[in-house]
Amino acid sequence: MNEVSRYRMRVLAIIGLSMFVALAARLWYLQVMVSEQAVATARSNITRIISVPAPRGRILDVNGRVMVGNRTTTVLTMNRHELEEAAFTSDKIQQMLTEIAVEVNRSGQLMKVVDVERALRDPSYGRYDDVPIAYDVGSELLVFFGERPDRFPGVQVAESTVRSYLYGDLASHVLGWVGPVNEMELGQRRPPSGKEYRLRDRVGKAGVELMFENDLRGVAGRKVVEVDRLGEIVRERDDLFVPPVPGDDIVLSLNVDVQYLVERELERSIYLARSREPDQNPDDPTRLLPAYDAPGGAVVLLDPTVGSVVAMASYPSYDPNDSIGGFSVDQWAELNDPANDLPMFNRAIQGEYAPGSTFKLFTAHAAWHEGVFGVGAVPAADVQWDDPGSYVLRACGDVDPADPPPGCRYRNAGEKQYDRVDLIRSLTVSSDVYYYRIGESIYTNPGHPDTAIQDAATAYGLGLESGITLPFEQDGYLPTPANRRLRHEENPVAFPEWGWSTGDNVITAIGQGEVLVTPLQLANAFATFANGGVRFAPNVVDRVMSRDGTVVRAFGPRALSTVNIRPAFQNRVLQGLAGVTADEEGTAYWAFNSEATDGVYFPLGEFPVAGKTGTAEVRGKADTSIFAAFGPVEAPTHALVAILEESGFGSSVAAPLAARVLEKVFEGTVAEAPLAAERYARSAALPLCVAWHQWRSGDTLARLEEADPSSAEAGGPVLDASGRVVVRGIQVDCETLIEEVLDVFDVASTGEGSG
Amino acid sequence: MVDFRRPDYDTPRVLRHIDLMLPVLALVTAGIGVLMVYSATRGPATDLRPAETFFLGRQVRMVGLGAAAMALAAWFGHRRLERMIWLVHGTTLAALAAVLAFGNEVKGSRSWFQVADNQFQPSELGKVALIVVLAAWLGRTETPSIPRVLLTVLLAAGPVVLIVLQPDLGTVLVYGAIVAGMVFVGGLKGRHLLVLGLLLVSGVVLVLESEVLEDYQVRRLLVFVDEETNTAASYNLEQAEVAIGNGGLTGRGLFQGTQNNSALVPEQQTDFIFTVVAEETGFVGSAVVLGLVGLLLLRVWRIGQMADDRFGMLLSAGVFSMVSFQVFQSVGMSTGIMPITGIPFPLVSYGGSSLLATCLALGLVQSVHMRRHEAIARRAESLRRDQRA
Repeated sequence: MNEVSRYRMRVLAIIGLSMFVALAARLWYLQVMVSEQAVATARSNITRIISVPAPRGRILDVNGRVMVGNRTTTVLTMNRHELEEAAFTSDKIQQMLTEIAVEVNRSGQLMKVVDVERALRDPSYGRYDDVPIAYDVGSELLVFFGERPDRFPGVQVAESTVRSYLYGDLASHVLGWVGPVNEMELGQRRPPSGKEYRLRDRVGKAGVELMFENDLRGVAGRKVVEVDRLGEIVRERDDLFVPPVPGDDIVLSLNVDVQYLVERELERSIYLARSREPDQNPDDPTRLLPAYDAPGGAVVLLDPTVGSVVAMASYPSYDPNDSIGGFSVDQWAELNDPANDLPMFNRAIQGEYAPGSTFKLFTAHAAWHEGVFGVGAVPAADVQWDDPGSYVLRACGDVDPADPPPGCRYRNAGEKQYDRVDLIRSLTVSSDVYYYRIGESIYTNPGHPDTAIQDAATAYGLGLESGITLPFEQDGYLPTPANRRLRHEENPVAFPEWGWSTGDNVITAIGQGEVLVTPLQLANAFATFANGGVRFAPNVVDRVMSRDGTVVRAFGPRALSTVNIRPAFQNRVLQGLAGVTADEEGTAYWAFNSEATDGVYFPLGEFPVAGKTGTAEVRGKADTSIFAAFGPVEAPTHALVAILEESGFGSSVAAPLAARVLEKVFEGTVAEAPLAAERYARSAALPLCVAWHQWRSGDTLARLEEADPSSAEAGGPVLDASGRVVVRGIQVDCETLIEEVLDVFDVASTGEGSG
Repeated sequence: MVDFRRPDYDTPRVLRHIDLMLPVLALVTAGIGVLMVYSATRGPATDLRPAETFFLGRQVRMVGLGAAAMALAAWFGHRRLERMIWLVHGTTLAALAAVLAFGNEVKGSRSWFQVADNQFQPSELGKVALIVVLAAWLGRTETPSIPRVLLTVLLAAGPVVLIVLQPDLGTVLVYGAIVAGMVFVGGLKGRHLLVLGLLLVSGVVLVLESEVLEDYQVRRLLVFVDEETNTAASYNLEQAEVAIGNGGLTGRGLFQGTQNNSALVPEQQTDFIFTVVAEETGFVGSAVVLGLVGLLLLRVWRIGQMADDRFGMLLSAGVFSMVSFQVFQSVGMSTGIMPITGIPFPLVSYGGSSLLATCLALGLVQSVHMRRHEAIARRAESLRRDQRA
């Protein structure tokens, strides 16, 4: 054993020791000195934050019935990246997309290849995202596509939460719809903190969904997961989980049952109006007046005591459920095609119509409060005089009353003559001449302010936005000498007229000419009169409620202004308007006292109704049928306005509609509104029920086939011997169904006969 | 001179001289290794996926096998091996040649025999064989002559060339460390060492320049030189360093290492096992593991110093070089002070061949300790016989 080796052993030991010292130093540096950095990196390295979408708040009716909720559905998605990976030829891709469309159609959702392609191109989804293609597909597709990943690369079927409009198209204009947030909304919306939008989030696009977006939208939660280096989730960090906060519920002032009644009556009235033959032109017996096309209409029902909206209907309407997963190309085109009468257009707040004779209330108000009665050519309000059926303007000078120059002679509808007309009777029988005279006097008599009529109408809220919490409200138009000139100066091409003549004032007095109101404005104006002069901003939302039931915000009555209505005037007008429905000469008498003309035998003794018909002339089209009403007269609880485009006299269409609605509302016999699912079940059950009815009664009901195109639909429903059909778990009783269908159908056929 | 009064010399009893520290330290380290291998391979262990115990079971069995191998080697004795070094060397070369011909190719390297579901890596046992061969060869003279040195180089070159051909860069480095350590302790003259050193450097350059190495191996080495190289290799290093740093002073806790659980560090149960130790037990745990191995190495070194012949001393020096280099390289590459070349951490990393080789080596060192009085006893015996005659 030599010393060299022993010495070198020691050197070896020192080398080994220095290695260990180096390692220890390096470890100290990494683990103690710069550890924080590594800890931070490690955390971000392996954790991914996944946003947990918060359920959107629900929308309930005044009685707490859910109108809009959320539900889980089966959704078919495609992954572009995986599709690219598969490197299919374009032919093969086309074939695959076609097959997908076929399968989706087979599972019950109508879909075209274009829709699949459009969905797949949606720019808001990234290359690696699963792009939703079709919602509400059958779960059997899970198996179909799951078994064929090589033929359908990247196609998946998964569960997803979507918005659910439980009553289908009911109140769709009030409720609105939701859709993916777009660039413009991302830029413009200022959401409260925690509710920020990210691409693909859903946002309210119309109605309450839009106006109360910030309340309905919940605060998304977050889930922290640890992933491995392939990005697969290894585990969830429960300690870092932030649960989503559901959006707040919106409680509407709407009553879903009344809403259903109103919409059904509106639709029925539209059908009735359309079934009428056009009348002969009284001036030219060889020609017909414009046809009753009845393209649309609106009904507004308010509670005048607090100014809340009980029902608001606009026809035609749409089903917001179609917006789930985006409207298809065809649907969107259909909804926005003017030929389809713009189903998304909320006529109740966006439609602007000449109010016709319903406007006489405001002319009378102006006359009474400006002291027009009994001054000059206008007799005192209680003086009875005979209405000759036509009126020649005094301003035209001393012309031959039998043949005055054009622009001087104004007529009652049908040049009807009324005897013993005073203020009360002028409303009851709707004498135009009575108001022509007032209109002329106000403009020509220097003692009266020129715009007294318009000012009175403005005081009742006409020509002003009502302040309802719904988007895109129109404010109507009240022509005055001043704003007509202004309009002309701003756009002389579109508005060549700039002067104002007595004739303009005369036709303004009966709500014709350029006067435009929205159905809501008119209803609110009548409600203002009904409650004694308090003009409320109509509320469609009663309160915002958090999910646990505590009230976040409540919307009490919002009184905007008061109209000074003198009791003497009020009494006379109430008497006059009540006569409209109760007096045999009243314009709406037959609507409220007969069933022959689609009206009802209204319990006027118990619930007297004040109403006013309106028949607004529209150039080149049939008249707009209008009826404004409130009741019971002594203490009004409801104010209603029905406006139907191109439908004829207010007394023949709008008034019966109001009578049928108010009868059920006052008597408390409003039927429960069926859910969309029930309505579907009923339509699906109809063919079987017809067969059952035929078997039982021998009546083939062949006449129904033209009326109801849905009777062709056959499929799953099964009929049992007692006449019950079960469709998707919902039972339909054939006897009641057939009775109801026949009821509607028979009314429609009698309507045809009477037209 | 020999002191004849000491009774030990009269009747050499090998069992009396067993060094207990050696097996105890080895088994404690291996035990920690089992735990770490389990932590690295158990997976995230969720309700859906229970902890994976396949690797745990295998490693426990391998530790048992290693302990038996250690005992067997100690019993068999290094001296008996000394007489059969040519057989040992021949077998090693044959096995390494065979693996090139019949081995499994994994990631471009042909280093394994696959028998059923067991893998066997001849280059691991080859390390021990080389230590025995070199110790015997260099132990025969006090200062090796030039022919002996040349033959030493040739002896080592055989297995090294075969392993370069696999190629397995890490193992080649370990072989290099063994040869360097043993030649150094073996008493080579200073200028001979210098020449050998130059030869080694030119050899390394030659290997790097040639196309023997796979691209990824060169890339890994370059990462070490230039940390900015943004490749998958630098990713490995980065993740390893993050894991170690994430441990901090006291660690994330057993099974709680996030880098570990997310399997962000590749090969974390074998070559990068130290990242698991560092992340889950922190600096304290790392120091304990390094301390255990350090104590073990101290014992090996001490036994070498106490050995009664050059063979035993060189054997210990070889084992010392092997283990200390492996530890340095394994921890060094995880912490970014050494290039990334896969070398298992002795006794801790998952893998039967490595564990078995380390245990055999330690068994032989034990044998050196147990039999450190044999020569003297034998000499005393013969002296006594002479006196009687």
